[in-house]
Amino acid sequence: MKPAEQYQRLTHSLHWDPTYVNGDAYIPEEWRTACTMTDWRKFNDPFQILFEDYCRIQAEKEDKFHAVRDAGARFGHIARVDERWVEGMKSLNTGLTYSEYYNYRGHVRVARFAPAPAIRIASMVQAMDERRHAEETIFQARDYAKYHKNGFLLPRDRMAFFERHWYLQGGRSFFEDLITTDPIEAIIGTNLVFETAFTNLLFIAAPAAGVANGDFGFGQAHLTIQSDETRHMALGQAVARTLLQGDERNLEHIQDWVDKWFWRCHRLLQGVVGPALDYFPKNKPVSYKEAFTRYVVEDFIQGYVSELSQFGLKPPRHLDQALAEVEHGSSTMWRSLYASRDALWFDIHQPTVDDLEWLNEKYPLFDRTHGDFWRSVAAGEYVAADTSPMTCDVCHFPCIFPEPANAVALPVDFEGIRYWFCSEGCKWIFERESNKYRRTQEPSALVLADKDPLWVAQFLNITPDGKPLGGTSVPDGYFPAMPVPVTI
Amino acid sequence: MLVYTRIAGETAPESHVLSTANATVGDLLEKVKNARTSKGREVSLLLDGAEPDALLADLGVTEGALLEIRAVGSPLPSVKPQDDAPEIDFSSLVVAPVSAKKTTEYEAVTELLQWHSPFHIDGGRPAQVVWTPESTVLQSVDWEAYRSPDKLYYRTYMTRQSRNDRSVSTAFRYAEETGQLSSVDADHVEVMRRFVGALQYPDWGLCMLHQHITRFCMSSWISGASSFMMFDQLRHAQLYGRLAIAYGEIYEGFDDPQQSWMEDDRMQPTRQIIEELLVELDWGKSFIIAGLLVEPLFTTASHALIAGRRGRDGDTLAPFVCQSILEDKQRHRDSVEAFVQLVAEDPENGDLNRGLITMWADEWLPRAHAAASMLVGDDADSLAAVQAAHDVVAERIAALRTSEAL
Repeated sequence: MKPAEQYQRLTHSLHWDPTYVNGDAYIPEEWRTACTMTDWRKFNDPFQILFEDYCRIQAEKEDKFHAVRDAGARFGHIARVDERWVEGMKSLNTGLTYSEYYNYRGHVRVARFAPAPAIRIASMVQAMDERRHAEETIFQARDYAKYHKNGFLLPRDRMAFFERHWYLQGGRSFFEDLITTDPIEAIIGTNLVFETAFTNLLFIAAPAAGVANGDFGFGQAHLTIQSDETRHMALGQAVARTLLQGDERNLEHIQDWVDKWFWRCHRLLQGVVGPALDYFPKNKPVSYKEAFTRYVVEDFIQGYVSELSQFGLKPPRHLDQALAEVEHGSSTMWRSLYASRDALWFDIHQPTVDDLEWLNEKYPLFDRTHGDFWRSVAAGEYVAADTSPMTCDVCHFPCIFPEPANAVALPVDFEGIRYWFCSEGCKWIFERESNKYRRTQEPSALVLADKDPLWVAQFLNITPDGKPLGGTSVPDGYFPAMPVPVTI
Repeated sequence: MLVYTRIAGETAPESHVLSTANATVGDLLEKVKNARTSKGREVSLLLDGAEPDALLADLGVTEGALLEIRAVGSPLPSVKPQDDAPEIDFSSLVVAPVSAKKTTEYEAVTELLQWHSPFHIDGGRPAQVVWTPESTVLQSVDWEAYRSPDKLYYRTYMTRQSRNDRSVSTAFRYAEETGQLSSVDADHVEVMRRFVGALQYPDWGLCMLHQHITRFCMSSWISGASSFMMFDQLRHAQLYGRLAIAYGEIYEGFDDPQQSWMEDDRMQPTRQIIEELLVELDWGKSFIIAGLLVEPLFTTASHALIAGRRGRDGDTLAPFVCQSILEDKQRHRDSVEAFVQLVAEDPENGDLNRGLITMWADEWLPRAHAAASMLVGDDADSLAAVQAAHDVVAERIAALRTSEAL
């Protein structure tokens, strides 16, 4: 039997149409995709991989990853990673751990409720990949914590911070959104937009910066992760193309999801990966703007989206705003981090002369927009936030973009409550599905307003000078319904 | 009252909480002036009628409003880091003790990955729930206390299963190269033709079921165990399928295994159970019914059917494959038993949980027994094997009833 036929027999043909329960019970309408296709069984995933082959390939990848870890420990590479880069990893690693974990839990849902057998199998395999990625980031965190004993988050702090710290809420809201979508939206958001367009910034550009600063483990981990991502990208591209080709009614949905997830990815990556490329590395191989231009604009927009324009797909709705923001985004984020550095668990440094020279070279508008700020700091001004910022009710980053002096803040009144948004993109996302993004917590300013500093410190799980307290402690009077596992 | 302000053309919006709904312009400006961003300058509100005594409400300022501020005078930026540092008694901070116990790799990559509400997303629709304790009727004071006895995580799981599949592939190659399947008993070929391909489907059904469990269960410990069960079930479906393909290389009638699954009388009770389980959205209930009540009987019946004669029919390949599957299943049963213990011995909800499990057993165990018996037909040895599997499960349920009575 030919391999392709064998693959069909062992995967796609596993699907059957139940007769003892009705289809509505089998895949309830609530969980069903809005997309249509005459025969979902005709969809074929481009990477056809059987269980046996998957385990063999992935076991080999794991061996390679751990070999580099072991060598790093044995020969002391980990201890020699540049400290500035380690500071960056303290935040990026925590965000990545939960991002990957979220996608693992999200993709088993796609596997269960996607309409095409091929998508189910591929999504389940992808879920396992995402679990792998989460585990790899945890292994890396253990290495950093072992060799750089200066505040790296250990698991119990890691979760408390992910639940509460403002800098991680952008990632948390992004992935909560992603795993509660239409199953095909999850494919478009994850596989097409996030992984095809944006993960090259995270898994190619950022590892290059890591390696340039002595972090070979980060480089190895993310290059092997990217080899999984390649499989995921192929699935996303095949799903989009097949649906656009198959039924013109799908264009509306796919365009909508591309528009939405492009903006959400832009906002998240700029806030998290931007500093990891432009500020944390002492040696900077590529700027965020250069990486964005190459991977998002040239490869994704001018390449993939352009190719699908034959089916009516257009570039993302807020592309121009994203391009304008990229000129400032990472620097704006760094200034915000610098101003709140007393409440962070990682160090935010004042840019050095070399840093400023590099930033001016890569970002022609840098000095005009941010130069005075850093000159004031250099002259002795003590910059530290003593008020809470306005926070966007979709992306949960502060409303500081494109740059603080001209920060966008757009209101929407919904059911008697005023919501604020950092951009046209986030406002548009809210307006198209307001119920999903309605406020579930009070703005942090209200939460913290009448609490004494001790309460705040314990709530944030952090001392005023930014050191984690350890453990998860919830002061009386907040999140009363929040279950706190007794084993923590 | 929460109000946002920003110094026009200079700062991003920042928030101020005013203690009274009758706050005045002066109350707000005092806060703005005290904020570090004003840099000691005089500030005023860019709003008509914004006299210091004017009530903000009278000026149309409502909760969540954003107001523009004008700052005049020479900036006097702060150069003192501690001029407004809060007074904190550090000795009163609660610092969790560091456990002396060394964390294993299994624990390190499995613990504390599932966070808690309130979530940012809560659209009020079932499909928009991140996860919630209400997703199962079983209750636990601490879902984080679950541990899977196999202590598998991705790295060890992949290593283990790549080795297992290498062994199984060797067996398939051996059977092919020796032509072993060409000389098996005709009766056995007939059994395989009728059933072996169809056996893919129950495991694929269980795999889909565990996709749902993995998504919605209430701790990363449980999702870890569930996801490896899920992936194993794909393995098992593909192994039964490979057996069918191997036979199909030699004999006619192995090309359409789904027909037997959909139409053969002996498969129908099993198919009905699997389909009814698939529409069950309570992940805890699914986990118990599938793992404790259905799978052991189904696997016993399946293996009795296709490998019960342990090679005496000339086929040593199927018993080898079934043994490899069984080793996975035994792991799964241990994982499910650990879950049963977690909920049955829960200090606050044990009675409730034991009552639910025994109630489910009353309904599903007889059905699973009947389905497995139907699957094996009238072969006495196979029926005895199914009965023995049933009795093991029944004994466990009886023990739960006893502790319920206590």
